[in-house]
Amino acid sequence: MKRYISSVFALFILFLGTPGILHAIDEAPKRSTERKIEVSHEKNDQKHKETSDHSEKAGQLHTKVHHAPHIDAKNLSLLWIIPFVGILLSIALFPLIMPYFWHHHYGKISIFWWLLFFIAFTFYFGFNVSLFYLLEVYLLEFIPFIALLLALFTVAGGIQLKGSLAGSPKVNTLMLFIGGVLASWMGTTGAAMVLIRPLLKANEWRRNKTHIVIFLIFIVANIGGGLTPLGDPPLFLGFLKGVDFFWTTKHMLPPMAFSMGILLVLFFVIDTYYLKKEVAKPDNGDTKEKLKIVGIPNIILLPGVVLSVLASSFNLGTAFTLHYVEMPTASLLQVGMLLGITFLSMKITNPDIREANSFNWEPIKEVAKLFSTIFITMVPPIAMLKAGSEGPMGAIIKAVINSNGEFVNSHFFWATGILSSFLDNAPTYLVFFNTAGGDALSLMTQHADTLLAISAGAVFMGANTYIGNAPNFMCKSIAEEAGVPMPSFFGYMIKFSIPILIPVFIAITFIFF
Amino acid sequence: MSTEKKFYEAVFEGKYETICGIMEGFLLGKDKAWEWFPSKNFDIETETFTEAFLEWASLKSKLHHIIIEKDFINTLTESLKKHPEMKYAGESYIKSVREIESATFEFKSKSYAKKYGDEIQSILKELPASVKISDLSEELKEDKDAEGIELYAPAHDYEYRSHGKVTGNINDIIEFRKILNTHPLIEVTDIKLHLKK
Repeated sequence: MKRYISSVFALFILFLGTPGILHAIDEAPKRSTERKIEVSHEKNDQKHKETSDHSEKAGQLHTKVHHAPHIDAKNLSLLWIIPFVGILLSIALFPLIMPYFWHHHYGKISIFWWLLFFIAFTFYFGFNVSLFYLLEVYLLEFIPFIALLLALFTVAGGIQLKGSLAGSPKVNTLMLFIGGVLASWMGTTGAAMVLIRPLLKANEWRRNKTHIVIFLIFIVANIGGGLTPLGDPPLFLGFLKGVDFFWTTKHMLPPMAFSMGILLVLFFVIDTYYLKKEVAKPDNGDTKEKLKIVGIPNIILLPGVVLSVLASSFNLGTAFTLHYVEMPTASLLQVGMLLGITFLSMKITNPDIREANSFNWEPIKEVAKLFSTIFITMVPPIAMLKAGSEGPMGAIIKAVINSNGEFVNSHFFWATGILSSFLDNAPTYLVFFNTAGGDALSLMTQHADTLLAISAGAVFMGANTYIGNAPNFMCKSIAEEAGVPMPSFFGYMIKFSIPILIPVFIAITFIFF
Repeated sequence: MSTEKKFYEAVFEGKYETICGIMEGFLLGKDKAWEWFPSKNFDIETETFTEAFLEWASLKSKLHHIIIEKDFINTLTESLKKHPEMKYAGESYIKSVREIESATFEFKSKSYAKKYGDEIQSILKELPASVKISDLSEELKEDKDAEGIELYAPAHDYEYRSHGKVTGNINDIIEFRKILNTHPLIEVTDIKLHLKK
């Protein structure tokens, strides 16, 4: 642990120090302007690509002086998506088919897909291009992504709800509501981690409690995370791509409130029904412990996480340029602040709280090992989607547009949602974000409903299966270890998600899309 | 708990409440504590396909299977024979009586915490006298590397699974199945009766 803290501290110093030193090197425009410029550059590049004969490898690689080398994905073979599909299917299937093998070897499997992709990519497009994408993906996307998850996970793992709660329908519903609200501000994983144990403890005496964990997965581990980029990784990826922090809050609130409202009412009814079936009654007369939240300093740190994410929008210019990749100073500041918060949380948290939450670094290691591969292998499919309806993945684009070439938002909602149910929702979000053009400014304005459909589909439908969103498995696992019989993969879908969630999503389609 | 008692499966025809009333009234009148179990309340498989179809066709349940102690059914039958003048309780209510040789059910369990694994193992060790578990399969896996919470590579550090077939006298089987069924991590099937031919 000491070694970890030292490393985090060193990184923190490095990240805090670097911007100041490098800021002098390059004065760059405001980040939001940069985004516009990037978009226009892309458009220019696109036009240029169509006419240029400077490409290597049969028109698939285009390099322009002072501009980053890009791959022209129009004529790329679909075989390039194999590593991306491979890592996503590995994440989806191995835990179900070979859980122990996966537990011990997921890192090696991830490296396998990484190497398969990187070696082939470098061999085909050259080291210059692969280095550019490597730096772009890791510096601009992966590091801020993992830093946010690390900070949220560390802070949430230092908060504990203690005391005796009555496992009554009213209290359970209230807990789920609080968890749903918290999820948008401390992440679905963090909120689920904080809520699940007190909820299980409150209902320990009850025989029928599987439904409580199922609704926790629906509301806290998924739908509740829809309001901010902190809530769920897909929304943070959208933020990294230029979607404003509060655009998500404003636009996601109505569908989120609608679905959470229905689910909470339904939960109350189901919980009341099961409570009436209980033979034993709770015995908490003498052992009643006053309800309290411990780990207050970590609650104080939470707004710091929000601030650090917002800080990435500050006008601080470019910190440095490394092989065509411009690193915004604000991003470095964000990463530095997040690492600082992580370090601070580790220092100030009572170890008993972490122990009570069974806190360890394994979840973050998993995310780091798997997403480092997802992010890099995502390069070809994203480029193919950006190539438009005539590109190699034109079929996907054509499936979500009508005959007039307009986006069909309900198709976006369901296509993003169904894929998010079975594959990780973060890369799925990005795939459809790019299917819709990948331009955050246009998606936030003229195509706002399309971006809403993508966001809602990715966040909400992660609850459809155990593999739809990372905290689902965590909740299942913690509940099973607490003696709650959890349904199988298909049992979860047949008994719970299909009959409960799908009608809610159909209603959302008619009302919002 | 007696394991010496003999039990019969008696099929009664009529209104369920009336039949139960006769049974309870008879016990009160005789001041006896004979055991009897309505099959539907104790998850005992009874209906033949024909019975199920007829009940479905008439949209109401007329045939009721009661597991009843030998002395109880014998005394009841004799009394009903002796009193044919009875208007609401007659021998015609009883459609068949067959002796039960034994009863079986199957169970399976899985637990991911030692506390619950130990609980289940302890229950399986404390069998009533006439009860035996056949085809018992128990699997215990412990993996210290899998301790703590995981997101993408979930595995449990402790896993105990068991399944088997439980056979014994019907009254012991009913009692033991109830104990297993009360544990949230044990699943049990309905009780199957083996009737004497």
